[in-house]
Amino acid sequence: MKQLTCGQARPLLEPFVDGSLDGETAAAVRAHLAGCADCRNQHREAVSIPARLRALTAPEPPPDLLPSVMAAVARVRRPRFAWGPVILEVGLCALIAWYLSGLAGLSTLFSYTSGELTAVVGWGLGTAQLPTAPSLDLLLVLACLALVAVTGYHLALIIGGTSEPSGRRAGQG
Amino acid sequence: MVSLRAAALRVARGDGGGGVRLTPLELARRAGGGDRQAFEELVRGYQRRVYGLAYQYVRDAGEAQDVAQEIFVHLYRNLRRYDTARPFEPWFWRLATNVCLNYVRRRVPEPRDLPDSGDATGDPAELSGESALARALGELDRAYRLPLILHYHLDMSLQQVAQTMGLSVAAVKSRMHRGRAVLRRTLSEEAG
Ligand SMILES: [Zn+2]
Repeated sequence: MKQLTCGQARPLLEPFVDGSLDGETAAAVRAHLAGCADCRNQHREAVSIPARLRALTAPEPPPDLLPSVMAAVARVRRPRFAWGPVILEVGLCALIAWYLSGLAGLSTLFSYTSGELTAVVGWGLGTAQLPTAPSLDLLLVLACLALVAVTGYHLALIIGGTSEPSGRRAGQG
Repeated sequence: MVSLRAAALRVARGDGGGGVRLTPLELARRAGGGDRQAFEELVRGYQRRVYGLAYQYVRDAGEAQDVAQEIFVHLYRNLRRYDTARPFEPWFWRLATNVCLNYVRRRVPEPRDLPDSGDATGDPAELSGESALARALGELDRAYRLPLILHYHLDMSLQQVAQTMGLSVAAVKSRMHRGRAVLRRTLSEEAG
């Protein structure tokens, strides 16, 4: 069996205590401990440390920890995913897309709109009469305006976050 | 595994409502979705261990409360990014120990390698009757201190400590052996 010096035995004490040394090394440590009072003292200390670490105490958390944490997170702004605006946005986009394809595409709409704009400018210059917009175009304009409004609201939600009041509880009798 | 179950039971016991037992993972999932009550249950279930962890780091009751609060606020901010397909505890304790480390780093340089001089009469640790072991642990290099706190003080398995620290179980064991050896030397020098 190999003989260990104190310097070799000391770093093996913790694994020895845990039982994680192979049989031969453990036997060598045991033999060294049998003949060395200093290392026996170190071994005693090494044995006691895990239990003493487990017994380390910390004070109880103060009773106001939970309320102060909840008050702190109530101030945290966290962006939330809002379904309402998303549904509206999708609906409006679908309406606009359906309407545009009903007019045979964007190019048709563009020439149509530019014609109307020219007419409006002409009316402003006094060379033409105010064009009467078909009611479906008004619907398109209204849908676009609504989409802009909903998207703006949605963006405001995302940027500002929504910190719902923490004290909101259902009223009880 | 014991501590996971214990935490789950503790969380469930803290449930003041209809006695519905929710695991920390389920609470974390709900809290991540914006459920404040689930978050409150989570805090209730973990506050003792989180405060204990913070206390082992800062060794001051008032500061430990600040650190514990910082940990929970950090948790709240990060819950949305938590992947519920992964176990909650290692993720959470990694976050918690990071907050502790950042706090200590911001505060003062680590009080390690301090000579144990004879004029320790004014040492606040001495005045508060703190044990020699707690003091030695506080002076230990944090690479060795963290696994000891997680395993012995927070009662985590070696597997959980390894997951929390992103190390192998063998590496955790070796750090714990070295940390305990430093503690042993410090304590036996003080005693002798
Ligand atoms: Zn010896």
